[in-house]
Amino acid sequence: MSSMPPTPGSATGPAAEQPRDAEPGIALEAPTSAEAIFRNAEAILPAIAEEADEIERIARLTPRAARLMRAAGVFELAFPAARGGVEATLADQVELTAMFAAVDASAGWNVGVLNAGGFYASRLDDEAYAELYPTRDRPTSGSFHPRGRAVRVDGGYLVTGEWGWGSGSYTADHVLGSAEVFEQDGTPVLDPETGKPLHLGLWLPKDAIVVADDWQTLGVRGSGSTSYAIVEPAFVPAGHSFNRDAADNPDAAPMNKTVKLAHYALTGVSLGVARHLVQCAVDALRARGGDAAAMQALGEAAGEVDFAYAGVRETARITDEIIYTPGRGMTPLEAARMTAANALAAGALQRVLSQVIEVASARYILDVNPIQRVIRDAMSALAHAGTRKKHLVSLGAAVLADEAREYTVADRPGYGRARR
Amino acid sequence: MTTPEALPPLREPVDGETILANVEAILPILEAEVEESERIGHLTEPAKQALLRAGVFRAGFARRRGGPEASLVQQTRFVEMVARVDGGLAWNAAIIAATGFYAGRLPDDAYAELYPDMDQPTAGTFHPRGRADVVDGGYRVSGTWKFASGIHSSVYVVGGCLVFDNDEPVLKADGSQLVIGVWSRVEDVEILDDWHVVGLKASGSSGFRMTDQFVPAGHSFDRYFEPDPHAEPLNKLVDLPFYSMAGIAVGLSQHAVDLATAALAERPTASDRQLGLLGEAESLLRAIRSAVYDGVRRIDDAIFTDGELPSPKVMARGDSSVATDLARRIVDLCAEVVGSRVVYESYPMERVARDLLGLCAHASTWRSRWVDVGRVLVEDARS
Repeated sequence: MSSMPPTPGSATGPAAEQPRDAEPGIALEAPTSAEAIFRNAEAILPAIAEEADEIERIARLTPRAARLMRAAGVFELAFPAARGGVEATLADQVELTAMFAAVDASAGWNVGVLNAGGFYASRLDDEAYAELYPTRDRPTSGSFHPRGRAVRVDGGYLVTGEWGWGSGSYTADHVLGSAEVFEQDGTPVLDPETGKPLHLGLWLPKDAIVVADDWQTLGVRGSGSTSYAIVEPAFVPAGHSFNRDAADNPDAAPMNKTVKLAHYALTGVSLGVARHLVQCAVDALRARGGDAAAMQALGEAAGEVDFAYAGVRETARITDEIIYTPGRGMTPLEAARMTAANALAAGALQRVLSQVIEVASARYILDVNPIQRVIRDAMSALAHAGTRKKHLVSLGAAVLADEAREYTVADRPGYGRARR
Repeated sequence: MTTPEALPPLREPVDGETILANVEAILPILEAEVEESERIGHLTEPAKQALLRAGVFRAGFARRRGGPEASLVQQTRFVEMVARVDGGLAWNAAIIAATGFYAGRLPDDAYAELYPDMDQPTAGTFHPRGRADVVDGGYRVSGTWKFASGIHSSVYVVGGCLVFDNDEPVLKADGSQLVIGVWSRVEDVEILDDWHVVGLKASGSSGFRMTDQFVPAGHSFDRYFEPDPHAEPLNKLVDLPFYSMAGIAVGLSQHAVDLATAALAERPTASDRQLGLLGEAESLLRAIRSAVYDGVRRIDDAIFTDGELPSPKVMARGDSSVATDLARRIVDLCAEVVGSRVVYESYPMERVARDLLGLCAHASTWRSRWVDVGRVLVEDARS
């Protein structure tokens, strides 16, 4: 067990507008627009590829990768415009994650997970935001499983808990854990809106966090998804929290309309890894040739990647259209469809993996063969809760219940005409 | 770690049935040796002793030489039983069980010399081929072979070589170059440190090297000998020793179903959906078990009938590819049942997934095998 290092000295003043220090030979722009961040991403991807072996070995982002990714602003796409953030579309968020995942799944995982920091931050009031985010360069991770315990006290909460799956927490400046809230006499505090137990995401005091260092896994090792705990009750100011299960609010800022949006970007991991697998298969077949069966396998794999990208992008585009329309909320079906995209992309990844294993050199079994890591990464990415087929169960139920009868995207009013 | 003395009482492995009973008895020992075998990349001494004393490594010895001559069904069954514990251990069981097959290729004098008893485990690899130059009384052999599964646990290793005489290829009657397998003592070859892999770690499939080493002519066999309907059952065809490997996909799948069942059983409730996933996995498992055992049973029927050879249709190897393909689905279904913990190295399902990945790398499981199956069907229909 080790203690998490304290947050480095914070920059003062308003959100960074100047280019941040990267390293000699890599010129980056100030990450003040999605376009700038994408250009920065292109500039640092070769360096991320260089770091991939070491990222895997130390099971978290290397200091160099973390420094470059922070400087590029790749964890900041979701910060709200009202606070000077880029407020990039979901389409951009998922695309950026996929770009990194196609180079290294672990790097992509960090992008997808730490991207949610902007969503969390947008739920803070002005005072807490100013305290916690003097600059948007404050990568923020969060774990919501299993839930901890927050006892309501004067001005805040006394928090304990053991959280698993803390992806990105080694790289994060702020680490969140979720907890259900209780009065000091043990009475559960209920969410007045839903009547369910109040479930908060809390910015945890870093010096109280004990890191389990238990992330020894098959693949996506560099996600650094260690468990962590707060053993002795630690105080969290009331403002340093948000309602994790808050009801949707169609009148909020786009990224703040529903808590369900925060993890759409992770869908990009399946896309990027599947694309990487196809690249591996092409390299293998270029080197040794292949028969018609191998061509069919490659064709299936490439086609799956194309369809998955198209589907995920389209789902993001539709969702963006909804959330950027003032006053428009997501219907249950629209939300279920968005959430299901990850499971569908994972299904594509699973089929791509099956084909690529067939046509890639059998030497992937050897640790020295670079394809092996991509295969292991794919296998581990497929174990994530977001990829589970249970999300298709939810989609099915939402389809069946939809009164507007928009069972598929093609059923949306005006959809066919608009796309012709 | 267990000690060899800790072995349960085992029966003299005189036939396939006793070997199966013995293997059942040693499974707890194998279970205890998995972690260390994975770590060192081959069988631990206790695991090796357990398999050896159970009779697994002598399963292929012919009855005429006092061997158990276990049927392919029986061999597949013990491979499956071991694979339910660990894929890498099972790989050793399947590969070293070929010892009797190799020994069966030897003439009596060489046999007496190399196999004073049947407990002389023998590994073999034919990839890539080495070189054997004809000299007085035998061959000078050089080569670097890969994937000599079981070599760390064997007394002998057989390496495949192209034969040359005065630098000219030695040709067989059909015009092809003679390929032989040559016996060496494992202590006389250089084992390479090249087995660092994702799955089947305990298979010990290291490469090895020989440099200008003399091998007596009698210590070799023609790798591509003509099928012989009058040979002893397990020596009628060259491919026979490796059919039992299909048991690995079955055992790995069974292990995944075991883990998923345990995961649901330990929860207070299981949803219909989770029960359905588990039921689908179990049903697919029954399907691959039927396919695999039906396939080897048909071969057994032919080879254990004197004067008969299995037809090309019976020998066409598509079952292993089907088994592996479905095993992937089974493991995916079971992974969905047990949840995200499958990625942790500390959870046994992670090893099942890795072993299955290792299995998929082996040529016997490739879907391209189905091309041969199709070809045989069409040729059969045309003839």
